[in-house]
Amino acid sequence: MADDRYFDEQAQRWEEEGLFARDLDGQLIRDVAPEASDYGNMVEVLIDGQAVVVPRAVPTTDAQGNILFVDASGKTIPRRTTIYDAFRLLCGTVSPEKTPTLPLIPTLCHAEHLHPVGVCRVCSVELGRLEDDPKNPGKKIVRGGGKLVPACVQPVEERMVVSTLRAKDEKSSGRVKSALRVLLELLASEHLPVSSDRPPLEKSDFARLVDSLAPHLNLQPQRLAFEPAKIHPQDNSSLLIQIDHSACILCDRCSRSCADVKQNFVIGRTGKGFSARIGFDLNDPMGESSCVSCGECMLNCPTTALTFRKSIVSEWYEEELQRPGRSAVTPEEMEASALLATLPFRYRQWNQSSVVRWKVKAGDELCALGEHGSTAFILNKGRFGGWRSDPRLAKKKQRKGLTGLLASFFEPKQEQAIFGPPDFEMTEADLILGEMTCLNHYPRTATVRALTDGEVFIIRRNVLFTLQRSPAARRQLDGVYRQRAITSHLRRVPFFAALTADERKTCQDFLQDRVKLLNLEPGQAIFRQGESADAFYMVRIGHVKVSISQSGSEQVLSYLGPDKHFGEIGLIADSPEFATDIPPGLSSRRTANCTALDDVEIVRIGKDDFRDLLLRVPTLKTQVVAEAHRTLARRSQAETAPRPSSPLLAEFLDQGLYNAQKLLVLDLEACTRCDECTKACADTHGGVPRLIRDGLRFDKWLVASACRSCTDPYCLVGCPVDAIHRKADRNEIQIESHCIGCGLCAANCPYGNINMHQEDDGPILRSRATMCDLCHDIVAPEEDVSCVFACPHNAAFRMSGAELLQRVTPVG
Amino acid sequence: MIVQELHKLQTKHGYLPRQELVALGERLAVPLYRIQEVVSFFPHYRTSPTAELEIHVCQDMACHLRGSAGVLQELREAAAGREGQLKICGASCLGRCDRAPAARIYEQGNEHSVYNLHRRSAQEIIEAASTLLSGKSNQLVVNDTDHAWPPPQKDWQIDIYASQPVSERYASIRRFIQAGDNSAAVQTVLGSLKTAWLLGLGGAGGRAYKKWEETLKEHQKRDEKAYVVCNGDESEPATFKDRELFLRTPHLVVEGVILAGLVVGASKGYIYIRHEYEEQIAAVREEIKAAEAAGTCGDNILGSGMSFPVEVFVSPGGYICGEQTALIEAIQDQRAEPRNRPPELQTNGLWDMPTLLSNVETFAWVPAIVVRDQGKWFQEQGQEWNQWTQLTANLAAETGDRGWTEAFGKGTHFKGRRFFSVSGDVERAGAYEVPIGITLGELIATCGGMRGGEALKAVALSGPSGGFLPRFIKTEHLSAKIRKMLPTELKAFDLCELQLDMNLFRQWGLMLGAGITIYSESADLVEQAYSASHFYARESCGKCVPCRIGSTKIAQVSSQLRVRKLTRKQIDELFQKDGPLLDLAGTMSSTAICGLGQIAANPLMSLLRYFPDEAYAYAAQS
Ligand SMILES: Cc1cc2nc3c(=O)[nH]c(=O)nc-3n(C[C@H](O)[C@H](O)[C@H](O)COP(=O)(O)O)c2cc1C
Ligand code: SF4
Ligand code: SF4
Ligand code: SF4
Ligand code: FES
Ligand code: FES
Repeated sequence: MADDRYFDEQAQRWEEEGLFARDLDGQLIRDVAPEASDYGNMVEVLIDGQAVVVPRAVPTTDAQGNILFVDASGKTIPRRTTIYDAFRLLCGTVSPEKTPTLPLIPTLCHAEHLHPVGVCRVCSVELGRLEDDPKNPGKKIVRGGGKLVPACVQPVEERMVVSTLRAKDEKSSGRVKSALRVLLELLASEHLPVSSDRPPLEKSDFARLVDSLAPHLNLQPQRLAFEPAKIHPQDNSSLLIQIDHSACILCDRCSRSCADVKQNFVIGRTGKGFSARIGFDLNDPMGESSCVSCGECMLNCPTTALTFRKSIVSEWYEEELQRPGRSAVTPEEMEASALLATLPFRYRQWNQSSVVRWKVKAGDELCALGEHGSTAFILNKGRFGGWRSDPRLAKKKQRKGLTGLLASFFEPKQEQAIFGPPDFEMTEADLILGEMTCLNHYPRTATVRALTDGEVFIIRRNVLFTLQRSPAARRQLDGVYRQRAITSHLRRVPFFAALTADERKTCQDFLQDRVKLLNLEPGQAIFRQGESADAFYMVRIGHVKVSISQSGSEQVLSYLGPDKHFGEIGLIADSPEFATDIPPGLSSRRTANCTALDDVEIVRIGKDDFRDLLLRVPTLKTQVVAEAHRTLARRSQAETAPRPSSPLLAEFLDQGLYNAQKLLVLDLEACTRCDECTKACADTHGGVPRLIRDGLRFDKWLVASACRSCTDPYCLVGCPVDAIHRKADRNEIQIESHCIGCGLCAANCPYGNINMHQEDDGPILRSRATMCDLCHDIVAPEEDVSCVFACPHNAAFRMSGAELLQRVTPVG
Repeated sequence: MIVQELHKLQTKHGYLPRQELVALGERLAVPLYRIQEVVSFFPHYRTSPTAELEIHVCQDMACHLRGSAGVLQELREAAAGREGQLKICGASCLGRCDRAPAARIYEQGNEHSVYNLHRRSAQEIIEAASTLLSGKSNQLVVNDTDHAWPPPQKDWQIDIYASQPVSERYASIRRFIQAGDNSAAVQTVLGSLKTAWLLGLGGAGGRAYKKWEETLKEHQKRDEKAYVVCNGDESEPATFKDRELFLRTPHLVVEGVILAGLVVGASKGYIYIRHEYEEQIAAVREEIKAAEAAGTCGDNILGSGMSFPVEVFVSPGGYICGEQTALIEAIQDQRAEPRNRPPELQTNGLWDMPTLLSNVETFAWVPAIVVRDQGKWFQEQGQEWNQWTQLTANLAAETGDRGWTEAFGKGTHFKGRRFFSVSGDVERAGAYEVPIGITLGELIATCGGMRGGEALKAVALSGPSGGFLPRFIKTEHLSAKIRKMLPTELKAFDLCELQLDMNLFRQWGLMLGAGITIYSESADLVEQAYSASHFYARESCGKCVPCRIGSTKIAQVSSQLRVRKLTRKQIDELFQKDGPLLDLAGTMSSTAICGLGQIAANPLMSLLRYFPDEAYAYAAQS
């Protein structure tokens, strides 16, 4: 009746140790966290006969696909390389789905940024070990073939022989094929709705996988549908996400996303065995659980179990659509843009109102120098010109008050004439523009206008952020971003300011491929006192703390903001080429610690490249040598020179005041605690005060809890619907009415200046984020905001952190 | 802490009230979903009040054979309309297969007492329930304790302390400490286990000394914690020998665990026991106290400065908890979902530390091996090889099989003794200690022969995991290698002549476990395959796709067969080469994470392979 394979192999498998549980000496392999040295520890793996050499560890990446760094020396967090990683490496950027000669390993439960759980088993591959043939010396044999393992979990080991469903050996590929066929049939027969009363909501990744493999594997889910699929109830309680439990394949991607990516800890598995499902909190309806509707689970769900329910419509979108040349883009139409096509369909639906089509006419202005903004432009068609200086800016500065500002806004476009020829030109080959301001919240560095008629997609920050999740889109965007970031930085920073145009060009050409752009998290060390100097750094974004360690405690010396540079002295100290120029007494070791205070983006130039550069550009060399002399001189007078005491400075940095542009500070000697400021705020903001007259003290000042308009706002990062951003002119942060109340910004603000406010009649959700908006629609930019205006005792002020520090220690 | 706290809450309230769970989350600072994950995984936990009495009736092998389905039916009818008072539940094997059918009554008031009812009729169970409901004295209720049930075998050689005063116990611990030289003492113990060739008696039969040695080595490599865990989950249908070892010789288990702890330098020992073993839990807890009082357990053992506390961990329930990595997860307050292997527990076990996990019996044999004469006695206990084994040995020698040579060298006999739980159609079911290498025929004879003198039809040699084998197995159904070895004129092999040893079974491609169920001519194997398939579907943890969905599909087919929904043609199509069932079973066995999913199709597949006529007898007429 049947063949014997199943019965013959049965008893051997039961409870057996994995083939690669032991190393070549028969010792059990312990699973330990890999180390950086494993990056260089190479292993050769054979996949379908093709050799691929991979490191034992690869750097951990986040949900955005960015490599995570421990510190600015470029130190990363290694994770074990799996068979699946090796397979990706082997295939490089080509897609094995479309290249029938490459090995193929499909996945469902696995996502590279989530720790592997190995539950769906569709990535099963056959595994063997290459060993010396005892009978034929000098020959090799493969031992242990026949064992299937999940490629997404199994770390690579020496002498692995992997067979995928495309292996040449038919016995091996047959085994994998048959397993994959059954697994997909099992899943499809239970979780792919076929009945007409429940039409599939969309083509999910899972459905696509089934479709694409169906002809090759001869998939017939019906042959395992012995009984009708079990129907689970739907959960429609969440206003944002609709849950179809019947479609859930229990891949655990949502729960891992919720806990590991967003740290929300809401989703888990509930029940056991066949009836196990995902559950929220104590298996509560999603809408009644502690779910904050961040949408992360839905974006990661490979099925139609979690789908999007209601489109978020922002005021920006509605206004934008009223303007000439603008029109809506449907999720389907987004497919036409190579970049937008990489977004999950569900995400396109959800954030449809974050994308607008603009048929531009020659002369239309896309963005203006110095403006803030949270949009970027995907260039579909046309030519565009950019100006790095804007004659209107000078004019604007001369006018005062609200009327002046308004006038400048409605400036007629004929000003083209005084613009002259553009500094640079762009076409659709440049993919995108405006992405820098959109991502890092700094003002636009150029004015851009259309030179011909054309078409762009205006996208908002959340879309740009999510685009980076697709490896393909990320690679493109990264390339563009790095190149432009470095170019614009080199052009801007004071370090190169004294150079002639030619010299600057030399620098740029030399450095373009030699510098590194690094992203650091708050608290990450860039270098430590006593280490030998190996690089020069320029801050692009964020702030760096300079401190020394003295008898066990930390003494803060200063902090460095955007465009500042550091670390050059140590690089020339021990170099023979510079020996004659520099004063003695300089050390090639670091004399201080440099640590990221907030999210820092930094440009790093290695020691050798830096020295090379100085030799090529004598002006720079002179500048650095002069700096070295000044440093020494400063050090010798360090005792006498007045500067803020270290504890005060440390306090200043601890409280994050360096980052603040619009602190609300109360002079505690004048303040009578009358609370007029709070009342004024409430009166002008619908009864909900946006400030709390409490907070930390700094000297005799009370730093009240109200938005500080940080140079680098933490709160803007990651808002899933781009409801919070910085507006031009006044630097205020604004929250738009389409906020879904996920609470991310409030959690991100380190100073507690955003509050989640319960709203019963809101359009979508129960709560909304509220914060100080600098009274932007009540008072003119130059006028006092309500709280300051209301203070009867002249105790309330708005000022930047630096100004506050000046007041406390009136020195330079 | 979650598991213990839930246990307490349920004992206090009879169920787990929502507000208590919310409060627990706050107290332990864990998110609610973590609590829900645990609560919903273990059927033992309830989130709403239940009836005054809950009656659980075992639905598995021996009990199903003795008509537990009928008992359940009768109870359900009797309980109809009395939902608040009586709740009737079908249960998985309760570990009392020798007293089938087995039932338990849980009483919600009265400190939530439990009553065992063994080999009772539905009528008797209903009477007991009525007495309880009427609030009359408990004295009137039958309670078939394990203590009271007479053991079928009087003397066990495993208990070297049987005729000695209690003070003689823990001799191996005293010797280990008195040796002074720790590393020499460690080598002596490891050497004894090696000489004895003690194999693990809970799973695949790995060599015990090797596991001890590996855990020790791992522990020495990194000077951190290490653990010893004794696996007393024993929830596989047909298996109940650990129940008897816990009950009658808890001191042997505790001694084995402590010695293991001292040898590998572990910081703590856990004895994991299924919650349905109330008497056993009490016995082991008492024994740990006794060992502590004797100074052989806990802090500063016998003044040596070494400490090794041992604790009972009461299982929140479920067959899957017996799988070694799932058990570790349960102790760590997680859902008892098996881990992907490698790594193995010896390197990454409890709290990621080196962990020695073995079966109850594996630990219980340690005193007899170490104290007697360093393993020599034990290794001489096995039976002489019979002709079939000799043939197999020749074959193994020819093919240069390392496993076999390592185990037996030039020997001609098996090594050691072991326990089998025997249930089903024998005269005296029970847990038996026998020499390794006893044949199936001899084992049945030891149990007083076949029940009522009936003929032997089939046998399950590893609970339901290995499926059902016919007494006379056609040689064409044996693996090619074995077939070639047997005389050509032999058309069928009499399993009664096969010696029961794990090494031999591995050569034959068969599975041998600790639970053996015997079926006489009158047994209905379609019913048995049905019940076993549903057991696996019920007990699948649901972590991996092949088992979560596959085990239910197998159970669906078994149900359809049982209710005569499949025609003969359909049966053939399902089971043909490259047909859905073989594909499904093959995929489950090659891709499921743990042993449960890997073998869940065996009962049904073995029915169709060895007993097609029984299946056809259930075929639908058209
Ligand atoms: C589903 C499943 C259930 C198991 N149940 C038990 C059990 O109840 N008791 C046990 O000792 N081993 C059980 N095992 C085997 C264990 O995983 C493990 O192999 C064994 O406890 C090791 O002990 P040993 O070395 O003494 O054999 C089970 C395995 C599986 C796959
Ligand atoms: S809801 Fe989606 S992401 Fe979550 S487990 Fe189910 S299929 Fe996976
Ligand atoms: S504004 Fe804040 S609370 Fe509102 S959606 Fe964005 S991140 Fe969430
Ligand atoms: S095989 Fe079954 S029991 Fe084992 S991990 Fe998979 S789902 Fe769980
Ligand atoms: S993708 Fe590897 S097990 Fe799911
Ligand atoms: S108690 Fe019923 S089969 Fe074990």
